[in-house]
Amino acid sequence: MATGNDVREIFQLKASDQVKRVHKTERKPDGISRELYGLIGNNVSTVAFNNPTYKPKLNVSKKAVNWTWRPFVNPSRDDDLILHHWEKTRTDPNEEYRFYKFNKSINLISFSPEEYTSHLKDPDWTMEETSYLWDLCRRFDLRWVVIQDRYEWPPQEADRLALQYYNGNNLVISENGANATKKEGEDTPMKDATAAVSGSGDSSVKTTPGVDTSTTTGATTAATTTAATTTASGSKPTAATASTSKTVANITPAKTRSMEDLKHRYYTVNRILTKIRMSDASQAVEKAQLLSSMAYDKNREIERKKNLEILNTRTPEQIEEEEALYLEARRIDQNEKKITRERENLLRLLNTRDIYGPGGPTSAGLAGQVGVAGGGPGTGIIIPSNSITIPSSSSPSASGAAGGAGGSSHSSANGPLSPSVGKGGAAAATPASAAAASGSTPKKRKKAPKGSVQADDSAPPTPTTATSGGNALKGSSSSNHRRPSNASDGPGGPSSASAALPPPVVKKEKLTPGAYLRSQKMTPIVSTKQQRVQSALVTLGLPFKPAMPTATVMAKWDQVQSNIVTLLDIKKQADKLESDLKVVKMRRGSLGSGSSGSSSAVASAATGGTGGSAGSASLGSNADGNFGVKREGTGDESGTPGPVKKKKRKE
Amino acid sequence: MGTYGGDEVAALVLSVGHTWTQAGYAGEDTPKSIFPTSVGWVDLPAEADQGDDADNSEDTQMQDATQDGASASDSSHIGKKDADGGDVAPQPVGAGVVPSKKKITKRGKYYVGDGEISCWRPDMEIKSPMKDGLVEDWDALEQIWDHAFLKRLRCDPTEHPLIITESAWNTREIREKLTELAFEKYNFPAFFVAKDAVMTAFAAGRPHALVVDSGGDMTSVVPVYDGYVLRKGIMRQSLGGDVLSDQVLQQFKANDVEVTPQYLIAKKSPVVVGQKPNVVLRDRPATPSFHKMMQMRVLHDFKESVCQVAESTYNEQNINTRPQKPYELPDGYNFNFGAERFKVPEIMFNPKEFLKNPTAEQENFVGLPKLIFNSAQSCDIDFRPTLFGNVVLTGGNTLFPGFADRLHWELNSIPHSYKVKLHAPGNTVERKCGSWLGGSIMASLGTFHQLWISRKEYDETGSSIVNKKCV
Repeated sequence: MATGNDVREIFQLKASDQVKRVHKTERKPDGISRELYGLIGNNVSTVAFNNPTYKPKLNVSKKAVNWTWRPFVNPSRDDDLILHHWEKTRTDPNEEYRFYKFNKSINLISFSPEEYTSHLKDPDWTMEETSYLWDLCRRFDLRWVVIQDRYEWPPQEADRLALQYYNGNNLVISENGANATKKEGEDTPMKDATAAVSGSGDSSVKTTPGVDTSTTTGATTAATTTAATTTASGSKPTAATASTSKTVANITPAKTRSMEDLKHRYYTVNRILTKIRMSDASQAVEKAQLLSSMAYDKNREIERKKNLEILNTRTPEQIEEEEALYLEARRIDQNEKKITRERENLLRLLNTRDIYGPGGPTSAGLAGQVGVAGGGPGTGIIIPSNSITIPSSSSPSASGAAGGAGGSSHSSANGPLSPSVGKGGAAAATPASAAAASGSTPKKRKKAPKGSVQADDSAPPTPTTATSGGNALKGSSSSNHRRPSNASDGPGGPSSASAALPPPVVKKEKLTPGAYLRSQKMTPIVSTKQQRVQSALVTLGLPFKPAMPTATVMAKWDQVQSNIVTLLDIKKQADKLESDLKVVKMRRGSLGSGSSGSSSAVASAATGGTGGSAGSASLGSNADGNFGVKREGTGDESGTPGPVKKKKRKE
Repeated sequence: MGTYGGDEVAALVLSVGHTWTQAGYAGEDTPKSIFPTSVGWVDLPAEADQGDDADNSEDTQMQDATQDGASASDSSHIGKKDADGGDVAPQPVGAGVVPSKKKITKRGKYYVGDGEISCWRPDMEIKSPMKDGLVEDWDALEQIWDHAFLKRLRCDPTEHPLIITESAWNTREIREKLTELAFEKYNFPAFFVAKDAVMTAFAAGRPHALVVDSGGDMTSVVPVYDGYVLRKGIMRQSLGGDVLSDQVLQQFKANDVEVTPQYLIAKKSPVVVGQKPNVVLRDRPATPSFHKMMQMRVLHDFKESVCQVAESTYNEQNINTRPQKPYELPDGYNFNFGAERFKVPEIMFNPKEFLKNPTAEQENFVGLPKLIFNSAQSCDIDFRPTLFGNVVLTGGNTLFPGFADRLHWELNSIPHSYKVKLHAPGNTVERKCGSWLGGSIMASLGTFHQLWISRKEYDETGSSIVNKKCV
């Protein structure tokens, strides 16, 4: 076969070294592992070769393991049944059966007859029945489903015998375990006593007394001091219960109990026993843990199962309806979010306006001129920001409305208006004032401290209620409380307050670095709104652009424009609220007479709906009150603020 | 040590169902022997009742041979089988063991095993020891045990522990009697009785399951919780494969078609589809029970090869578009079956509509999905999701193509919010021998060996021990 070397020879090329090098592998020096040498040696191959793996050859040389067929005894059994199996020839002849370790039984807390009579009495349960329950628990290792399935009181003879047989055996075993593990004599007689009890319950029909007698005798030997009392007490109820169980068997028909009954009894007894027995303070933690692990609320369980039942027996139509409702709820939720987002955007927009301020454009040269009005435009801006707070504070209400299921009918009726749904009507009335007073912006609060104080009088202004308080109500309440407060300090107060404040223009002016055109300082209008602003300008009888763009005119112009934008936004909100209100009213009409609480809430919502507009109106008037100065100051410069205000009221 | 947690003690597993008996060794995946539970019984003439047993048995065998030779021309193989197949036993007439009748015991001969009972003998009655999942005829059952252990497995019962399966609603008396039989007659060193539903669940690898078992004579739904049968949830009705076969037979009769089993046919020639068969019959007078059994075998074959379950609700229009399937009866009559082949298994799902000429009992049958749902509904609500998630399908009657799909569809169309998961082994043997398989698994587990009822325990406590140890 032609190799690469042959080819090179034919073409009379120099034989390549590379090929040679491949063959000329160096021997691996000793002391380095092959893998390591492969990594650092000369012939590092970049490609990893995957040698095909074959099944390992049968190792014939290895000696086969010897297996023997031998008898074995299972220590889990209490008889000596000998079975045979194949196993590897063992070296240790006394090796324990491999599966012995899997033989586990549960530890039940058992009770003695004295304990029963002193602590565990229950009108619904007899001692025999309780110990029958215990037997079942032991028999089925607390598999409650099976216990409930097999529970039958009084039990049939054969069942009783079977249980007795099983538990007799089991008790002997567990007793041994108890003796081995617990050194106290206190525990063993107790167990023995229960053995006697469980035996005594069955003893009226006992056919094989061997097991029971063995346990009781075990009791007498095991417990030295207390044995006398326990056996005595153990034997006493024996006679009594024997007769009673017979009568019980004669009179009552077999009764079954619900799983809740059984569990309740089991856990109650266990709790009581734990409480009695773990009286040491040192065991407090353990005790608390145990007790909490044994907590069982029967009624809650029943309720839970009932609800599960209802949940599981829904017809497809119901499921469909529920799903539709769920989807609708989600849709509403998302809409709320969208609205919230919109509002936030709006708020931000207004705030930025606040920052730039109408004073913004009034640059340094104008500062003095604006002087008096300095407070004016600054605070003038607060009007929109205030009026905006209505929707903005209603945005949390949106989530409230989505969440509040109870009053959802009116919460949805309130729409985005009232967050007070969860709080209920009563709460809504009082926080309203607080909400009104505490306002939504701290600035506002600063501005009208007296208002807030007054609100404090009427209701404690907890901030949560303030924010969550119905903003609808806030609207109305602000018209109730706020106005008078403003009215009271109307002429003097606010003006002085605004005068006292440092001019916001200075604070908020954002200086553009470097040289700039003054036109840059004009607040930009969002392109989507441009047309509407322009049409508003047309209605106001103004040209699209001022004929004489001096700084003053432009400042005013800017203010007018921003006011128009604000107005448009507010109008949009108002429209939305009004349509919501309409929907609410319609729904309310269709609902007819709801519960009084809800209807009142609806009513409040309805007023809130109007309150939304009323609130803005009131705020408008509020603004009037507040900034009368400004109006006077600016009114004659251009007629614009006048119509603007009027428009606001119209809303 | 081949299996995880396994420890083989060479136990025998025996599962006696209504139709089939399965016997084998624990730890294997298939029973060594499967044969019909039905046994044949031939009364022997009264004069045979003299002398000792050995003479009698010889007599009877000879007599049988002569009978066979005289009556059947091609019965040489029958005679052969007879020689090792037949069994002579003292037998009181009828099922119950009545002491007063013991004096007038009739002698008779039992025939057990597929080859034995399907061979024609005049006067051979066929009977099944099982009814409604309970043992009715103890002598016949003994014959079956004998046949299984001595003829089929050919083992020494004193060397192997035995585990048998029983129906979930078995009575105490029957279990005690079974225990007696195992210890007194066969001297098994250890014995255990397991519920077949639990065993089926184990065979499917589930501790919790809702076992749907549809067999020859009945359909049962049994909830199993952690290896324990929940008695209150057991639902059963005697709507099984035999009812379906009977319906097919009725259908044939209505169409004026006689179902003639193979044993009656001497010669046949092919005929055109739907035409009367051209057949020469043998003169083989048989007992009605034998004839019925042979007919049922034909119908069984018919069901196996033709019938199918509609995947969703039965829709005549859709069904009619399905391809037809031809089937030829043993006498040569053949026909193409269209909608009929879907209607038969449909009885399982909608007995009200599809069961023709129902008897008073059959009036009350409910569809299988409803039965399953009722069973699950009678269990604790917290346990129901588990049950619905572990529906195990077993029994020969569930082997119709499309049965599992349909059942799944039906269970999902009942309003509930559980997730239904159906376990239906695709392996036919696994589906037919589910309970045997579970017994085989359980008896080869190392942890199981502490549960055996030992000889010693039996001696100490008596047969009632079975009710104490096997629950």
